[in-house]
Amino acid sequence: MSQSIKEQLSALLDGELPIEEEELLFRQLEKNQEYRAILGRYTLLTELIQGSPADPAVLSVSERIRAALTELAPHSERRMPTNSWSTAVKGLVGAGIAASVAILALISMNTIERDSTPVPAIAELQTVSDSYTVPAVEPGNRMVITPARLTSYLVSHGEFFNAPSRLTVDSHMVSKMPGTPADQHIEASQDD
Amino acid sequence: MTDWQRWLGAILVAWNGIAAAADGPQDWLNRMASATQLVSYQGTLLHTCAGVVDVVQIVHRIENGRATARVTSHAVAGREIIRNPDEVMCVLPEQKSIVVETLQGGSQREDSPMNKMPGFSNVDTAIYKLAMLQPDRIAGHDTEVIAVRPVDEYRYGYRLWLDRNKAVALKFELISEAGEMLEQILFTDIEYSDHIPAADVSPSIPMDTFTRQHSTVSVEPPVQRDQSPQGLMRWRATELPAGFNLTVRRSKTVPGSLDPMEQLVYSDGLGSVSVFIEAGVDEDELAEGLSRFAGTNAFTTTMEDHLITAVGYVPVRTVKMIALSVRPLRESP
Repeated sequence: MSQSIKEQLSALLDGELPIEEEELLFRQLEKNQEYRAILGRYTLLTELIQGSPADPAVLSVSERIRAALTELAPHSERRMPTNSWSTAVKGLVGAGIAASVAILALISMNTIERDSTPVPAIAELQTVSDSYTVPAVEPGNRMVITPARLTSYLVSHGEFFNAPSRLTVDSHMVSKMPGTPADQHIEASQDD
Repeated sequence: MTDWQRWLGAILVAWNGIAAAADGPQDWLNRMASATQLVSYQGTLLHTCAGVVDVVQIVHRIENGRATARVTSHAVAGREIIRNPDEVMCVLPEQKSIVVETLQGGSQREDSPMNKMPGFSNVDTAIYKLAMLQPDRIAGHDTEVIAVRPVDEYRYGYRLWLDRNKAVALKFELISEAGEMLEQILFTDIEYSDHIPAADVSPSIPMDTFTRQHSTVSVEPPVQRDQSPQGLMRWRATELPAGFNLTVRRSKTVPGSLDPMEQLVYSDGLGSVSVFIEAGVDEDELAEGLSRFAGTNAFTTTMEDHLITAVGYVPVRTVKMIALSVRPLRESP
């Protein structure tokens, strides 16, 4: 992956990418699953660096940090500032990230985490497994009823979502309409 | 400009600053609710779920107090959802089909005493706790950040980044009962305009050859075919999480189907669950279990040859509790 693409993805999340470059990047995103996965991880990092520390109610920060960092280059010595998403990601983009960075971020976040989630020891953090997956990630969409029926229900229920939720659900529907080829993750389940 | 005018201007600026600083989270959420009906805009947003990002275009147009929104996929040209107060349209170009749902008497629904649409204005603080977080900057705009945290595990939490000038949500996160982000939308660019053409909220591709599946939704209580002399049979959830109440009961007729589908909407004022009750469903579709579509959960069960499904942007335990408690109850005539 080129450095330029990563920088563009970072700028996109910051709202700093020029409009004329956005369209080109979006086309690349649609074609390239790897780019989309990277963008997804950057989004997670946004949560860790900005969202979660500001909102102490969010749990499992330490685990999600490890997961997000696992997918980025793990051998850099660069330190990551904890108060700037843009700077942090650009730093990661440029040179990867060191285990010490993870520790720094974790310590910083743990000071305001109110839950009792145990924080991994430093030694544990330095041996992050490459096979670690993001705990927050669900296996995907799954269906007991037919996709067509679920689509019908979502359309009917749509007006009863609060406005931002409606926009979120509609965005997901047009991207992964149940029953269309874009919905890649249907999994049968008989019970929860 | 005279000195007097300069002083007055300075005082007004200072006063506005003090007033804005004094605004609490509910004030901002009320502003956002108003902006939904007042502010036109278009932009690009990223939808993130389970680490996967999709790009979506949104046009939100206000005309005479009526909001119409078109959400368009960036990946599939022409795949879009268009909503206005009277109609919802899903355009599916790969299937060359359009799914249209007309809301009969849509404009009157606002008058119904049952009908309190879920929203962020006047959040019930016995159920959700509100907090202001650190201000942030999204898509070149300063934002106020609000956290909405439920007091129990029967509903989701939210975080909203509201444009300080327009009160439009530029970033929105759905937070699970475990405190993890389930879904996020994030504007990468947004343009406010009072002059968005009507064509920009119309279908973006020609649909002459598309098949049209049209259903009509009515707010009148459905008449059950098995109505007995003892009274009208109505379905009802008998167990609900605290704060949830029945807000809407309506029926949906689909061409070719003898039995209208009944929809009961339960809401705590912010979150909502629809219970769909269908008769005449093929036997092989009568199943029990969970369906999940990102943050939306649906739990399906059967009773007396009816398919009962509770659907909502709520945790699994909530849709499961409600679906399994649905019973046919007879009301006196």
